[in-house]
Amino acid sequence: MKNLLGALKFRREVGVLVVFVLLCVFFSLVTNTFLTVPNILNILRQVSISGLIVMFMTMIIISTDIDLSVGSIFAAVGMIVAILFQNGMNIWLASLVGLLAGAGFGLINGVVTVKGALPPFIVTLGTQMIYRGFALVISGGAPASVRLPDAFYNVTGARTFLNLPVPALWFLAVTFIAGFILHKTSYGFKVYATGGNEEAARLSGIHTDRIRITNFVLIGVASALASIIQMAYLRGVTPTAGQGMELTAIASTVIGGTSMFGGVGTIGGAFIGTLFMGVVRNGLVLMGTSAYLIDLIIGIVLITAVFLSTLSTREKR
Amino acid sequence: MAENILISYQSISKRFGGVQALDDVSFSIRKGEIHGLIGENGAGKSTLIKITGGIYRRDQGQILWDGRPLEVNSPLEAERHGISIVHQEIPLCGNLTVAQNVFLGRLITNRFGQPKWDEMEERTVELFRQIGQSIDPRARVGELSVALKQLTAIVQALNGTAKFLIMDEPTSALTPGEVETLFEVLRRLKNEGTTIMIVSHILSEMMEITDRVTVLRNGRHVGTLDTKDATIEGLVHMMVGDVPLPTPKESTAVRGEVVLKVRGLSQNRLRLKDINFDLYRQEILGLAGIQGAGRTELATTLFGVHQPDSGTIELEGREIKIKNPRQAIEHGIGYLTEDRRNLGVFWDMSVWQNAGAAIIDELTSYGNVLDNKRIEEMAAKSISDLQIKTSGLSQTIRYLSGGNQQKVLLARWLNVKPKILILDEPTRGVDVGAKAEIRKVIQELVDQGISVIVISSDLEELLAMSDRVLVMANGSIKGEFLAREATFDKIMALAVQK
Repeated sequence: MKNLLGALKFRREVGVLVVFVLLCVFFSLVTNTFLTVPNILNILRQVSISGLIVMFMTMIIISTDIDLSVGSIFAAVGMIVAILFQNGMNIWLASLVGLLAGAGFGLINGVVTVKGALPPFIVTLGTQMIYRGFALVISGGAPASVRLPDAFYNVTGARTFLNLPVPALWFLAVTFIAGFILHKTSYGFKVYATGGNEEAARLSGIHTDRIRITNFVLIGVASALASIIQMAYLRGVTPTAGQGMELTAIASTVIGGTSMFGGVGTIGGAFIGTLFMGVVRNGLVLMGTSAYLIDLIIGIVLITAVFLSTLSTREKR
Repeated sequence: MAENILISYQSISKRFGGVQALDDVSFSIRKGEIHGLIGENGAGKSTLIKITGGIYRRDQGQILWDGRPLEVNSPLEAERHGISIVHQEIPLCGNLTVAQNVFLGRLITNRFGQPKWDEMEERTVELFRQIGQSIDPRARVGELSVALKQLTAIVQALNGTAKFLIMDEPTSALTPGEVETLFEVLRRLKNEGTTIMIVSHILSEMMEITDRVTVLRNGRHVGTLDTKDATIEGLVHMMVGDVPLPTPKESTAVRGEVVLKVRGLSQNRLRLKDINFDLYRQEILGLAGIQGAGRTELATTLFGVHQPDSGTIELEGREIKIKNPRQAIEHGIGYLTEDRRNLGVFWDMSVWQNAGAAIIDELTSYGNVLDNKRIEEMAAKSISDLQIKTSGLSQTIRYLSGGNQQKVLLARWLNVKPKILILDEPTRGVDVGAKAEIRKVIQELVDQGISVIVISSDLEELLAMSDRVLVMANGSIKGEFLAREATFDKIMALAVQK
């Protein structure tokens, strides 16, 4: 057992990756549907919506903040775009407005948190309710269905060559972009510095306030993008969509090895964490697990995975 | 005679890494006396207190407590013996009342386990009356003055029936009136048989309140004497010793050229009052003073962390306003923090990331894409210029020695190509070899044309490095010496003023 634990003493993501691979092997053995191309594409599509958000949740948690309002931004932006479209606005323009609205919601979160020196947990808990309320008010509580032009649908919700789901392509592209921002730019450097030691970062001339606010804006835009893609895929939106989405995103983030204390985490890890959550859910469904049991099991898996991934850092103390 | 002794330290030694904090220290404290413990920063006072209180373990020697060997491994055990420490930062729960704090950990309860607050409040009032004070036992501790918090801590200790009360810098945050009250309380406690040890920098107060004084210097016991036989001058001399003065270096300062001119600088919250000084080109200006004198506060205000309430700062003849550290850096001012652990290092980041943190935007191309070539050049230059011992530029800084971590931070500031570098305790917590190297680097910088302000609690080092020394006490500059004319006694005499 000691040796097995020793073997996991790599970087946090590596530990998760090992568990992830073991899980995939397990599901491949106990079901004959798990390891098939349609199912894998299906998993990719299922995780793509929350996956878009996970990438930026990772960034925001690395800088020691958190955003609980992503699910409400998701719903509010969906309603904004759908209502504008139903009232005759061009869907491309409506989507642009939706993205800007997402940025605006994020900006509010960031400015109130940072300039008001308030805990992000509380601020975004508040705006979670506010943005949700906004979505309910503008929709009158009713879902809206949309008949999108093909040109738009084809680049958002459809399936494309090789039957690849377009949302999954968006997910992969955004993962790549987020990885580039976090790992290859000075902005990403500043995110780590802010989360690693905010005071030291400030003394090194980094405007930590701006970094934190920008992170909130980025996750707002990502939530808006996720919302638009989901709308296209489902051909409609509901004002109650995205409930609990923040928890899925946070769970994927920490499974991916990001520390809730900030300063530590990678987009690669976030990607694995996202797939991990999707695979567990998918695999359990394929095994015919009772729907009532699935959340219970996922909870156990979440804690176990994070425990295993922190073993290496734990032993250093 | 022996039965008069409450606690006797016998050949106590303690080492932290490369630093001998206490070296064969022996002295005794008599029952019912007020004993002063003095010495410069780093003399070993806090270490001795922490060993007594069970926070650290001694490496060698033994402590006799009332004639018997004393073994304490935790503050709780120390308290059980009757040893209580009132720390400089008073650890009380600000959200609880005075009575709740006094009885924290020893609640009086009825047989159902419910706390009997009325009784505890009455007992609290009674305990305060014993030291001649009145108090509202229901007042929230967080809303009390520093002086009342301190009295609450004393009462808390007495409630645990302390026989030996250790006070660490009890007067540093008190007004003169509050100091008098505290001293009355201490005299009263002494008359009732409590033994007290006070650690303080303020010698005039020690002369007033103590019966005997022990002086430590560089971890060694210099002497213990009756206060009535002591003089402030004599004590200062015991503290700083008969060290041969370091040969002052050849001054490189360019006298005519003022780089930084500070006039009338005040910051009320930080208690900086009317600071005036000039810094010349290629000068090393030392800031001397005891802890709490305001040196770090002055440095961080110059660096834009705090905004002055009044006064002007002129850089090369032009008045500037520095709103944040970024602006300071853009004006060519760097600041190496004294608190490497909390304010300097990014622990989970690499050597190059730590060294490049202040110039990260310059290590990019195509907008702000990190440029590996520039990063490697910067890191290679930093590592070779400062002879940083690391397995590579991507090594996590956590795994470097303290001296090498400090060199990485110094590299961070050299990379901004500063005109003025403020170094706050640049050699604190680094070994002798790294100390010498850091000092050499600083001299080379000055030779290349930059000006340096250095803060150090190591007076010997400060005099050896500096061209000129300013002495700070209590938020203002008390005097100025050319390094070659300064002596430890002259500097300390100004530094211990209130």
